[in-house]
This record gives sequence, C-alpha cells and structure tokens, in this order.
Amino acid sequence: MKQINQYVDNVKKQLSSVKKTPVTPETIGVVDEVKDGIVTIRGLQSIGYGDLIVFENNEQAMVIDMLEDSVGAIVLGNYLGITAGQLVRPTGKTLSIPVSDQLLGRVIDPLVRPVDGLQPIKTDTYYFIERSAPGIVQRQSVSVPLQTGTKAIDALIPIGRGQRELIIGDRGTGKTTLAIDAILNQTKGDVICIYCAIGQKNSKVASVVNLLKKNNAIDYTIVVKASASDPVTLQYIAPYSATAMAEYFMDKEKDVLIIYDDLSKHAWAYRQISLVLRRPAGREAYPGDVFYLHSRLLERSARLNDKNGGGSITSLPIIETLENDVSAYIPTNVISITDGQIYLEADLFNAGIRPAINVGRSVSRVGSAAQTKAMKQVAGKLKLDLAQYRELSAFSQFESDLDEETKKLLNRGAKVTQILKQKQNHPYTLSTQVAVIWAATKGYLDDLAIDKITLFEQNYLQDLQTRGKALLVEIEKEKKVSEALEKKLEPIVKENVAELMQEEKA
Amino acid sequence: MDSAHKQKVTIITTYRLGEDEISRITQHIPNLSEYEVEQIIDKNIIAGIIIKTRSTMIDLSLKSELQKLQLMMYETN
Repeated sequence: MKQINQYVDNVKKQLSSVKKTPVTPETIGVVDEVKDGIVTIRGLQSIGYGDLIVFENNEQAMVIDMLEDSVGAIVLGNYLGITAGQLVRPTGKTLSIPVSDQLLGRVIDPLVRPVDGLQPIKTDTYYFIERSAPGIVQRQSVSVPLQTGTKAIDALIPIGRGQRELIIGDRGTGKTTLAIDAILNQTKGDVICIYCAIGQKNSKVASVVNLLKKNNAIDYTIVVKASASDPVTLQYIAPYSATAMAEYFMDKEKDVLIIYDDLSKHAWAYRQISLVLRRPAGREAYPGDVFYLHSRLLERSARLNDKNGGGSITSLPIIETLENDVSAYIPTNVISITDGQIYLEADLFNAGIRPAINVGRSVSRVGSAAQTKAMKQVAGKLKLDLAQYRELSAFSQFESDLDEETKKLLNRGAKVTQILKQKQNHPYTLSTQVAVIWAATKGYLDDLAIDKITLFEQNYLQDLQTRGKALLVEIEKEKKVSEALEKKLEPIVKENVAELMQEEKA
Repeated sequence: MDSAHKQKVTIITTYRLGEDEISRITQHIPNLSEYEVEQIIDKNIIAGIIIKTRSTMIDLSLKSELQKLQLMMYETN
C-alpha cells in the first residue's frame, strides 16, 4: 500500500512540475496515389532515399523515389489499408533488420518476420539492408576454396570463398539443385548458408526447406523467402536483406554462402516498381539503373583481410534464361558483374548428363587460386581431356575412319564426361572427388564400356570406404596426391575395372 | 505577399479557440498574423492542438501521444 501511495505521489509530482512539451515541427506528407504497393506522397520535403515513413495505420514504407514536390515509397507489407489523403510521417530511421545468431535454422521474410510458425526473432542488433560494399583496403584476394561437393564444379570451375559465381540456365536445368547441393555439402559447419528465394513458388520453397531439414542442413542455414505471392516490394528488398544477414555473420569472422534464387525475378520486381513510378523504360522495359541494382548487391560479396576479421561472403546468384539466350539484358549484366558463370544446358540435361554443366562455356575467373593442390593435380589433365574431346567430337561426326590417336582421345573424353555425372543431393567430399577423377584421367577406365562407368564409380567408392579409408583420409589431410598414394590407389582401381570387365565377358 | 494569396495555416483543436488563446499562440509564432488562419474542430484528437502549414506540422495532440505509446508498447512486446 505504501508503495502505491509513493508511486501516486511520484506521478503527482511529475505531473504538477510544469515540464515544457518539446515543440518540434515535423515534416508531413499526404498520400496522393496508391498503386500496387507503391505510394506517391505530396510534401515530405526533407527526406532521404531509403528513409522509413509511417502511415496512419502504422504500416511502414521505404522512400525510393524523390521528385520536386512529391516522393515515391514502397509499402512494406499490406498496402490495402492506405487511402489517398492519409497523413504520412517520417520515422527518422533507415530501413534495417534485426540480426542475430537465432536466425540460423529459420525461415523468414525479408523483414525478418517468421514464416515458419515459430517465435519472432528478438535482438538489439540492427543492420541496414543497404550498406556500401567493403572497400579495397578491407579486402584480400580469394584464396580458400569453397567445396560445393559437385565434381564438375570443384574440379573445373572451382569456387573460392568471397567469390561470386553465377549459375545460369533455362528453367528445369537443375540450377536450384546445384545451389542446394552446395549448401548440403557444408556439413563441417564452418560455412553459414543463406538461401534467398525471390519470386519463387511457395511449393518450391517448401520443398527446399524440407530437403534442408531432411539432410540436417537447416541448422546452419537461413531461408529468406519473398515468394511470388508476396508483395513485389518485399521481392525487391529480399536480396539486400539477405545480404545484410550475411554481413552480420561476416563481421563475426564467419564464412557465409548466399544463394539468390533468382535475380531474373528480382529484376522483374524492380521493373514493375520502376514502371509504376513512371521512370523512363529502357531496353526490355527495364529502367536505366537495373545494372546498378545487381552490381551494388553482388559487390557486397567479399573476402575481408585478417585485419578486418577475415570473414567472407560467397554468392551464387541464379539467373534463368529463355531458350538459352544468354545475350538478353539481365543475363549479360550479371555475367559481367560476377567472377564467372556455371552454364547449364537443357540439351545436356535431356541427354542424361546431370549436372547439365556445359564445361566449355563455364568459367571461374578467380577460383583456381583457391583450388587445393590435390584437385589441381587431377583437374589439369581433366581439363585438357575435355577440351580435346569437345574439339574433336564435332569434327569427328563427318569422318568415318579416324586415326588411333583421335579415337583414343574421343574415348577418353566420353569416359571423363561420364565420370563427372553426379546424382542430385549427393555431394562428394574432396578426397572422393580426387580419387574418382584421378582414376578417369589416368586412363584406367578407357577399356570399360560407357554404361558401366557409373557402376564402377559406385563399387570403387564403396571399396575405398572399406579398404582405402586411410587413403581418403590422407588426401583430405595432405591435400595432395603423392606418388606413394597413387601406387596404393592403382590396385584398387584396377581390381574394380577388372571385375566389371569379367562380368561383361561372362 | 499578396493578401489574396496568403499562405494558409490550419489550427486543429477540439473546440473553437477564443481571441486570447490565439494571441497566446501568436506569442510563440510571431509571424502568424501574416498568414491566413483557418480553424478546424476535430474531436478525434481528444485534447491539445495541431498546427499545420503546407508540409510542416506541429502535433501537440493527445491522440498522437497515445498512438506513439501504443506503437512503443507493441514494439517492446
């Protein structure tokens, strides 16, 4: 009772002491137009790009367009309650999202509202969704490999931590699968993964989440979802928001792998916003700054030097092409921004070569600096074999009798192509990749029939797991293929080949 | 400025202000007499006063204070 009295007295005292209410004139605006998530506002002179404003119904919007006496803003959420004539106030904040370690294992929308039915994320740390990329001084060059677990990529198109490698191809060529496999391979736990779905079907996002859960990969993964049914404004901010989360972990000296699935739909979302804002349309009706849209995003991927913690963001943006047209506007833009591309082809996919990577047209501009020695040893020969094979295979179709040397090269190329096939959601460790590719490039499989290659690989790997465990451990540890190791691998390969050859004869 | 095109100042209160009340506002905003003053009565603001001109607003209403409180409670919740 005494306490209550004391409290009442306190309040009385506070109320009676004439405290001057701070009189601060604030800038206001009035809603002029509402069109599909984009609001035009009269007034609001002293406001900047990216500032948050609030409507009478507490819905928030971000300013993205400023004219002489009006501003355009994108509503973050439900825009149905906003009507013309409503008052708008600035909040004095720039759009930022809460970040914390709790994000791991969660499925969230770009404003970090949970969509997995679990508790909201509580934290005091906020990151701006738009942040300028680390400068030259803070960076160091790519030097540590990021193992994707896909033989063809790790051997021929190696990806280093801090690199930006584009995955490009038509619909249904396995782009997402390739990216998800890269997440599944990060089982060591030293890489945090972020899957950012932009404009995807909800069913697809759900199946990705289930796949991650099934493979226990969700524990180190964040799924940021702005699906096709979400407002276009959320689709627009999704990759920036996901990158802000990545930056939080990078600043904590972690390595992050981020997948933008896909940036074509992100460009569509931005095109829609721009057209509604009546910005001049350029090629393919995209606005003039669509290049900057993606360059400022991908430039935020970096590998920081040790002085700045040594964290990294590796990004795998995905672009969907139509009819293999890589010379369309958005594909060419993103190709020129990234440090290389993985080119997937529907023809290869239908021919049963999966992953359907066109090795000739795919490149990694910086990744080879990060490749492990063991992989370099076996991949050098592999590249040569494949290059010769490509050159000859087109040519050889016209000639009936080929010389021995050409036949040999064609045979080797066919075998090597077979050995690069891989089942989806079965990432390989570095050592198994090296062991398999080593067998193919050394020519041990040349006498084997093409349809037996997959069987050989299966038996061989099983054999290695039982008999040759020590060899795999050695590759994993030493990261190189020594002569002594080769001598030990040779009999295992030969035995397996012989076994299959005998079966064939019998 | 031409008197016909005087800039408009809108004062929103819950009841019509008397002369002395307006003169007290003029004490704080001396150049108020240069503007065309319009009074609007709006019971929705509960108490207090809102002064508006073009895109600037001085909001001293109880309603907005309560709204701020509501938002704060929602956010800390």
